[in-house]
Amino acid sequence: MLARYSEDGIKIVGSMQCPFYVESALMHMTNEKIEVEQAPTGGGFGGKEDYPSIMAAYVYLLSKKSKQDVKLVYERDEDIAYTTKRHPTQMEYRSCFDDSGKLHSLEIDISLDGGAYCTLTPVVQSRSVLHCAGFYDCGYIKVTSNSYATNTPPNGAFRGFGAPQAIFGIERHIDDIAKFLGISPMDAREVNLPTSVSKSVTDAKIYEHKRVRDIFQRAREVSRFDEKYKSKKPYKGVGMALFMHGGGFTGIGESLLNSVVWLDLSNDGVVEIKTSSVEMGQGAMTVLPQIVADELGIPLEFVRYHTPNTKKVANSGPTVASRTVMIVGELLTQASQKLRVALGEYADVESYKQKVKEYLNSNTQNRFDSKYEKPSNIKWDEDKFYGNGYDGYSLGCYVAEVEVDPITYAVSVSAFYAINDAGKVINPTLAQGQIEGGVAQGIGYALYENIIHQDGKVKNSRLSDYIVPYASDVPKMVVEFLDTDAKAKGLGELPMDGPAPAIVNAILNATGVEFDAIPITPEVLESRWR
Amino acid sequence: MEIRCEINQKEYVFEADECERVVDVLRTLGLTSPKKGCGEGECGACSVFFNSKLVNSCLLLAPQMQGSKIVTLEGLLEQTALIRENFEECGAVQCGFCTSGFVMRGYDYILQNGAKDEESLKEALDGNLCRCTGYQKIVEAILKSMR
Ligand code: FES
Ligand code: FES
Repeated sequence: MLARYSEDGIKIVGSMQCPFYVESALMHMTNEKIEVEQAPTGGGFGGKEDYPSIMAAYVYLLSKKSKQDVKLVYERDEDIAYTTKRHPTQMEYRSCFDDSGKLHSLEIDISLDGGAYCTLTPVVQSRSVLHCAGFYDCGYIKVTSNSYATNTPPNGAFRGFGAPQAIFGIERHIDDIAKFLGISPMDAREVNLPTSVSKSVTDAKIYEHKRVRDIFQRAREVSRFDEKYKSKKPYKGVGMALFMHGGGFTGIGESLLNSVVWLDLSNDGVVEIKTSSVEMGQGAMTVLPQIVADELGIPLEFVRYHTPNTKKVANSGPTVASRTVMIVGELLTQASQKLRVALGEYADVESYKQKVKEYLNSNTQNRFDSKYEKPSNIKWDEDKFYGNGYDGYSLGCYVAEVEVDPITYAVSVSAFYAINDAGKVINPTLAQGQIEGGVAQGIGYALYENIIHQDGKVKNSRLSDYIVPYASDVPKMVVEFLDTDAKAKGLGELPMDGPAPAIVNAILNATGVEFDAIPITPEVLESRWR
Repeated sequence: MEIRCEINQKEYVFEADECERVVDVLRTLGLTSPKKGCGEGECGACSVFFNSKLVNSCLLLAPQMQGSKIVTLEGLLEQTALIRENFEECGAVQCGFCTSGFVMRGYDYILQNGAKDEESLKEALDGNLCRCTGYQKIVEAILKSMR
């Protein structure tokens, strides 16, 4: 994080996901609006959602006092020790079901460890609650949830934002039901698939019921789950997770954000995208221009992406919650449509350029904008916590195959099938990359990654003792996208939700042991399976 | 202390602190392709050729540079052109933090005549971390460069 000092004001430049969050945090310290610009950010994954505001405050104050440029760089161990982590979560599931595995009631209790300050905990908690029963059909669902303040650094956003924990809970529970009844996990899921009358945990219709069935069938087929489950070999196992992920902010969140996008048109026909959606490896810089170019029917080189800078771009909200393509992309589509209408018909690039000149000759307004409006069919009551929590849901059905080593107790993932439904895929290579990368992180979540606290401090703040997956830990994957004719939905977080329960369910299949906590390190496996 | 060495076939003379790590020295000299991902030899993002061997430059101290020959990715742009192009095409780059390290590793693997199967390559890549891609597309890009 860098503060650039000048007499006229300080400018903040840094690695961040949400430039306007940093701006608004600094406004607590000064009345002037500080210019904040995103620098090449590296990965984000939520860790750069709120924490950069703190670093910006440090460099801002030091710069103001010293009248100099100030730069703050965390070494990796400082970064791991101080920045936010996924909320450790404890869940309890109780259910009533009949001999077929059909659920009749679910009682779920969720406790989140918020760390020493509140920060994002309430919204993470909401997302956990909204995902904790999956999209299964169940007549009665009761959820209680509490978050606790503890003595560790505050926990915060990490890809999935409360959903991966909750999905782990429900997806493990379904396999436990199957084991209890001696039926296949496939059958236990199939009897509980939603129908047109099924209701979600917050009593909303599950509009996605048909898509849930489709994705379940497809994953079952592609992975040949039933066959592998029936002809189980020693030390091998197969497991599944069926899940959804709500795209965009929870509840009234998107309405509060009130996102705006701008498209600026210049004389040579170039359209510049001015939003606060940052590039952090997920591809915003590539797919947002693609969306605009597609809508306008012009070549990609006519569309530029402006680096997010709070003095120069519209506030399209933070770059979080898998909302960039789904929400900001949709706003850009609308702004492009306005631009197209303003220009009138054009047949090719030449006539497009001609139309632009004509338009700009007779109009001074070269900015086309669009502002978020809640879809009319989405109803949410924030006080009662009832209704449809998200503007749209993506779906996933993942199958993992594992091998457990009876000598080293190491678990390896030998095959992985990731079937996704996130609507229209704007850029197939990048979309596939999101899934592959998310599954790799999910493998780490399931098998290796474990933050250990001692006296409230992170004890393993190095990459030599906080273990993340290497190339040979990640198998070749089958990745598919369904329902690609529908509108684009959230994609970035989806692949974080499925791997952990699918892998732990596969370990259950391999060893007969129901593990109810992650990561399953060799020590953990050894303690329960000999 | 004063250090004299050859970096990317150019003579360099500069002052450096005895305790400074080579990755930091290089970055201060403006050679920013080596990234400090971990600072302790786990991630490979700081990979450079040091007297013709690919090493983690975060594990070397400035005095070791005395009289050495160092090559960073900046000095191998031509030789790695195909690999870099394939990285781009295959989608092997997301945030890019690990990329120069993987390009160097891939280049070294090809130089060493590494086997053309995925297993062996993945094993060779196990000194490099990538948090974003899940490695599949990196493997694809390097294998493609071997064909
Ligand atoms: S920075 Fe040198 S190996 Fe990670
Ligand atoms: S692309 Fe981000 S670490 Fe590899």
